[in-house]
Amino acid sequence: MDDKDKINQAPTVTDEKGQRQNVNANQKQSDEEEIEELQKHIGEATSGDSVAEDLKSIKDTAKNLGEKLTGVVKPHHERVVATAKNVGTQMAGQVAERTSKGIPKRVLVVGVVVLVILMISIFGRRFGVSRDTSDEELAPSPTLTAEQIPSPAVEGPFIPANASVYATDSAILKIEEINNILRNEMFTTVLSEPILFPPTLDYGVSFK
Amino acid sequence: MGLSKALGILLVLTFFVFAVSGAHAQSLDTSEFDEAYQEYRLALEEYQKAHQEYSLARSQFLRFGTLTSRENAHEKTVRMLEAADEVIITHLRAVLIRLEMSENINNLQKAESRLSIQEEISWFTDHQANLSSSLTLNDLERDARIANTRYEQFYLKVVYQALAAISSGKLETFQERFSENFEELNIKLTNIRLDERDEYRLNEFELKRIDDWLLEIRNLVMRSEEKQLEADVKILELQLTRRVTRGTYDNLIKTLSESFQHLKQASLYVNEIVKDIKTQG
Repeated sequence: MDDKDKINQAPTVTDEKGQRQNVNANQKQSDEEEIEELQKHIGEATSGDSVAEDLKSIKDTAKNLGEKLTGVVKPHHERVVATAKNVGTQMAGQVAERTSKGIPKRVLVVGVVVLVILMISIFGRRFGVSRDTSDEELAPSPTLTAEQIPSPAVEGPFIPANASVYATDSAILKIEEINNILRNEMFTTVLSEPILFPPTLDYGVSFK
Repeated sequence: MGLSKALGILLVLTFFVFAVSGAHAQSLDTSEFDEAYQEYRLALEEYQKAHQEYSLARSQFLRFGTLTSRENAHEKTVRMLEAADEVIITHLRAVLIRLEMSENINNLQKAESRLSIQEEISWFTDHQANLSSSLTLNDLERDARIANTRYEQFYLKVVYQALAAISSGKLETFQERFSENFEELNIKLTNIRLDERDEYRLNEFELKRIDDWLLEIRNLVMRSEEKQLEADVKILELQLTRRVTRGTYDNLIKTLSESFQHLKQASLYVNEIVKDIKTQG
């Protein structure tokens, strides 16, 4: 028989009324004692049972989930927009806060200093307080003239920097030109005739 | 006035006609050589094909020895030998034209070379014509042997002689041109030395330096001529040599190149003299 059945089972004594009451009272007391003892047992049993504890924790979690899932889940993009709105409103708040305070003092000081330096330099240039190297600045930017550009390998007459009266003498120029042509030809001429070297032929015919 | 104008026009026309005719002759020579050289190249390509076919037919005959393979080998050998002769003939023609085009070759030497080349052309033409009359493979072997002997003993010699003469002629042309210009320079220098005007007079230092250059140039020209003479002797020796090889020719070209090198150096020194004359102080 189960303990719970014992608890629920009523006494079946049919003797006298007083005896019956005493018996009933005794019975009731003993029953209560028994119930207390059983409850103690049950408490001990359930406190050591891990399965029961697990079940309890699962029930609790399910309850919580149930409570959380009761709300409507919004789509992702709506949530992003909502977040952006929140950020935007926060930043707008900050900007508004800053502008309401005005430009920071540090920035203001730096700006004034830069402005003063700029004005001093402009005034200096205007009214002759210029640097000694002003001439350098006015010098034209370097550009290559036709003489500075290296010419291709076409050799013309040599014109020295400190030219003598013979630099333009026709006889000298002619001698120079002829020599240049001759020299160029000599340095590009091959004396042998490689394209006319005798061909190699196989006359060694043999069928043995 | 009218007469002088007519004379002027006549002079211009004469110059024009001479210039055109000269240029025409030059271009004719060049085009003739180009044509002959192309023929030679084509003949060489044909020979290479024919030689491949001959090699295949020969190996087939040596492997199988059948009548068909023998006939095939005979046919391919005849074709190959004909092609070889054609290569030699066309090559000799190109060399002959090149020789005729060249300047500064001794007339006697040119005539000798011309004769030798023509002789070789006729020999190989005959040999080529007789090949088809060779009935057996042994006959072809003999024909090839004869051609090989001719190739080694005469053809190579004739060709190298002609090529050496062409190279020597080139060098001599440069020597002549250089000497003419150098002579002009010497005349000019003599005039400069004789000039009494202050601004036209070169100082002692400049004159000394120019004299040094002149001495160097004369030495170089002399050495160049010596080497040229040495090369000419070698060319003459080629005629007496029984078998001329590529090595003989290369040795000759080396001597000519040494001569040429001296001349090149001399032309650089001429430039130095011109620079000195054109520069003041």
